[in-house]
Order: sequence, then C-alpha cells, then structure tokens
Amino acid sequence: MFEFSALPSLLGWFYVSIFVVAAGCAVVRRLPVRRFLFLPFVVLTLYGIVSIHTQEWFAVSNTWKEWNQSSRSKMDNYSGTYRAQYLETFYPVLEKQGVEFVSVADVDPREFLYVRMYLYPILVRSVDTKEKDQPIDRFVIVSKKSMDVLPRGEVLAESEGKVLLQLIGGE
Amino acid sequence: MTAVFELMYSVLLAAIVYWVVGFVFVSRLTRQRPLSKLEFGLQSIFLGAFGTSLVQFFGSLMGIGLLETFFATGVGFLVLLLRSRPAKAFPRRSSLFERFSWILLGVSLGFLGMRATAAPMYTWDAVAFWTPKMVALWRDNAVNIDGLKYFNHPEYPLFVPLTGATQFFLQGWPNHIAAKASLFFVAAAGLLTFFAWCWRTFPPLKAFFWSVLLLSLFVLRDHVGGEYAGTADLFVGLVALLGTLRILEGNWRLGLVQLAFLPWVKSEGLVFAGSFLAAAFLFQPLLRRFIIILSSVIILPWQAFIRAQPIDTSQYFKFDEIYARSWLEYAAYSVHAFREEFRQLTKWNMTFWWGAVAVLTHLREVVQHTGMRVIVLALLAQLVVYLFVFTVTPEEQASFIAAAVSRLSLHLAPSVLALAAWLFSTTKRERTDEISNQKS
Repeated sequence: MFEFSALPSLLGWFYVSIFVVAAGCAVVRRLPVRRFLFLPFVVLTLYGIVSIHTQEWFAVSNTWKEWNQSSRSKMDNYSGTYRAQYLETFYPVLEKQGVEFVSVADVDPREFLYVRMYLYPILVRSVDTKEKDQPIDRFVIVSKKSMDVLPRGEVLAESEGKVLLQLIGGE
Repeated sequence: MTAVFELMYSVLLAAIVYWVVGFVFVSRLTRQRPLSKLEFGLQSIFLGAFGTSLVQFFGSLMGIGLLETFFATGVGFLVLLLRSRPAKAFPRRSSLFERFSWILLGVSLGFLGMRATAAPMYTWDAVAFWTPKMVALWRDNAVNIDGLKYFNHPEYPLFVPLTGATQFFLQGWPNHIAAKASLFFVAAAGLLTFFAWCWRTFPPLKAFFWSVLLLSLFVLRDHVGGEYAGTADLFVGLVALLGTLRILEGNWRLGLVQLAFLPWVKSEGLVFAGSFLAAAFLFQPLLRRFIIILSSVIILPWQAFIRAQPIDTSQYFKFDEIYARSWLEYAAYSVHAFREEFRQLTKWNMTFWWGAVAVLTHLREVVQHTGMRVIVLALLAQLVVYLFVFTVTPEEQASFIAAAVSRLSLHLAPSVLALAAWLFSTTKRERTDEISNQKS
C-alpha cells in the first residue's frame, strides 16, 4: 500500500515546493504577496549564479597561462607527442609510399583513437607484439624498445621513441 | 597574442560566410516581426552556420568539394544579400544598465571562450568520433560514407564535423583549436541571441536575471568551454532554444526553420524536431505547406542518405536478452534518474524548478496559447522518448543513464528556461497580443 506520508521525503523540498508555490499562487491573487512566495527561490537562484561565476573567476589565471600558447602546444598539452609522431612524421611518409594499411603496435585505447584519426585515410590495425602468429601489415609503427620482436625491417621514419618500419617479407 | 591571431582569420572568415547565409534567410523570415539589429546579426550567424554546412553536404552529393562549396555558398548568398530589400530592424535604445549588463555577460562569455580555446577537444566522444570525422571530411574534401563508418556512429549528422572541417581547410592543417574556436563562436552567437531577445522582450532587471541564469548553468558551461566542448549536445539545446523564442513571440516561420535543423545536429534531434513540427502541423493549419517543404529540404536529405547506406545499426536493437526484464522496474528507474537530475542545483541551478512552476501557475494560458502548447508538447514528447530509451536500452541501464542523462537534459534545459522567462516576465496582455497574431 503506497504511503502518502513518504511522498515529501521521496520528492524532496525541490518538488514539494513546486506544488506548494503553485498552490499558493492559485490561492493568493495579490502580486506583492505572490512575490514573497518566490523570493527565497530567487535568492537561491542568485546564489547559484554568483557561486558558479566565482569558481570561474578563480580558474582564470590557470586558463590564461594555457590560452596564451600556440595551437600546436595546446594540442600537445592534452595528447602528448601524438600530433608530432603520427600527423607530422609518419603520415607524410606513408602517404608518399601509397600505403593503405598500417599496423600499430602496443598502443593504449586512447592513443589508438589519435593514431586512427591522424593517419586517415590509411586504415590502422592495432597489434600486440607479445602475441605470436598474429597478422602484421608490411608497414608497422612500433616503439623502439619493441622493434626486436618483429621480423627484420627498414626504418622509414622515427619520432619521439617510435619508428615506422617497412617489414621485409611482411603482408 | 599570436596564438589568437593564428585562429582569428579562419574563424572570422567562416563567421562572415555564416552571417551572409543567415542574413538572407532571417531578413525574409522576419519582415512582419522584425528583430533588433544586434539580435538580427547574431541570429543570422547562428542560423547561417547550420545552413552553410547543409549546403556543403548538398554540394558533396553533387560531386563538388566541401571547400569549394563553402566559398561558392558565401559568394552566392552575398549576391542574394545585395539584391534583397533592406531588412527592418526593431527600433530600440539601450539604457546604461543594459550596456553595463552586456559587459558583465560578455566577460562571463569571454571566460568561457578562453577556456574553450585553451585546450583541444579531449572528452572521449570528441576524440573517438566528432574530431576524427572532421579530419576525414578535410582529407576527403567530401562526405565519404566509408570515412564516417570508420570512425563510429556514421548515422550521426554532420553539423559539428563540417564546421570543424571548414576550419581545417582554412588553416591548412587539422588545427583542433581553430575547430573549437569556430564552434564556440557559433554557440556564443546563439547565447547572445537569447540575451538580445531577453533585452528586447523583458524589463531590464528580468532580462538580466534570465540571461545570466542561462549562462550560469554548469552543464551548459561545460559544453561551451569545458570538457564536453566539441560535441553536439550543446547545439541541440541551443537550436531548440532559439526555435522556442521565435515560436513564443509569434515568428513561426523563423522558429520552424531553426527547429528543422535539430536532426542535422544530432540523431536525438530527429524526434525533437518531429515533435515540434508535428505539433505545429496540428495547431497551425496555415503553416502546413511550409512545414512539408521545410522537412523535405532540411530534414529529409540526410535521413535519406543515411538510410540508403549499408550501415549496421543492429547494436541498438539487441532486444533478445531483455524481454525477461521487469519493464516497470526499469521504467521507474528511468523516471527516478531524471527526477534526480532535474533537482541537481550544482548542474542546473533552479532552471527546472522555474519551468515547472511557470507552467503550473499559467496552465490554462499554456493550453490556450498555440505556441506554448507546441513547445510544452515537444519538450514532454522528447522527455518521454528519453525515458523510453533508458527503459529499453540493451546496455547496462545504470551506466548508460549515468553517461547520458546530463547531456540529454541539456537538450531540454534552455527551452524550459526560455518558457519560464516568458511566462514570468511578460504580462498576460503581451502574451495575449501574440495569440491574436499567430497567423505569421
């Protein structure tokens, strides 16, 4: 059996006050008196407005430091070396070679999003160098440390600890 | 300051093209109900951004490059602008208080702009598909379905990706900051249009109150200049907001044109636009032909294009495991989710409170006023659809709701606030005057 007495605590002051104020307005016709009904909620709204803008104000000095940089620096603040590696180093080489597919080894999910974006329209496959017998494309981007686990290849480009390899005898 | 200048030329060039495109439409659609000069210019930029991206899509379908279409659109609409009759402006003078308020609003918006352009897009959705689609459109110089499929959600419409890709074209490289700056510029035009409307429509103190309340919503600020900048949910809310304003004041044609762009912003906008247009179709017989033409030109092309493609959407309809679900329980959880969301004062301030009280205290008027009836019906329909989606989603319900409820509420909040502002800040006579002029 539903207990109506539980309704106020379920709805909370927010929803209960909606009905109380609406009912009050239905009963009270005089405008100055009606304004008293709304006054606490106007004050609460203004408090929220001032509060959010105060937070914004205190964050300005940090924002200013970041804002006053070049676009490339701003992008690198959030995605590290991905732009320099994939967009500016590896993509031009792959494009010149007419490559359609490239494997990328040992990247975390977030890095993979950037790789996929910056190398488009070259299609990217993520591979795990620890797994044996998995297909790897003829062109592969891998960290210098993991190069040795791959078949022999020619280094076409290098950037920030990663190399673009053209495997000899790869797929 | 060189960081600013490297962006300005491309953002301003795009803004000029958007203004020219929007001007042609806004001037034709507001002949009987003029806007103030400032509102006219801002509304033109906002509407023009959507119009330009849609024309770029049409151009791509005809085999014309996106960049070429962008410039051709600018030149073509400039010719139309120069040949059109000068638009009337609503004459008004601003008081000292109004000018001071604009400075404060401008400073608040400026802080947001600084935040927006201090960082690239970094939220998961922006990095997973919104920004990559910008790169795909830029590299292909065309709308290529294979590129869109490669980056998830190929059915998502292209306003945000095309706006960003245009910046990549003008910058010559995928400059994420320029894309974000352009999106901020368009969003700012929408917000400033709302401020200008408030100042034209309400007494000064109330105009300032509602303007600064909208600008103070945490979720809105987060989508304009924070973590979620670069995604499309903000624009669903702003398009619905500006459409709501025009319907409230009786500028039906401009309002409906604005609302027709909802499905061009995000897939959720399809039901939203459908609700607005269907309700308008029902209650405004003189606008029925206009609504049909509008839907055919703005809504239908992308929907037809997507449905003609071999896209696998089965992931959204995996209902097999869920028929054993207790529907009532899931529906109740969905209702509780929105109940909790709407009373989050840190996210929404008192927006939904003001909206609910406004409607309840003016219920008879809302039912009798055609515009308000359409708006309330559309908002309720959209909310019901979200509740339905939360109930039947194949994904784990709690996680899905946690990830989605704030941004879906952002679709509704600005229009709810505008409706509350209208009901509390105009006199019954002013609203009654609009009722008698509903034929435009």
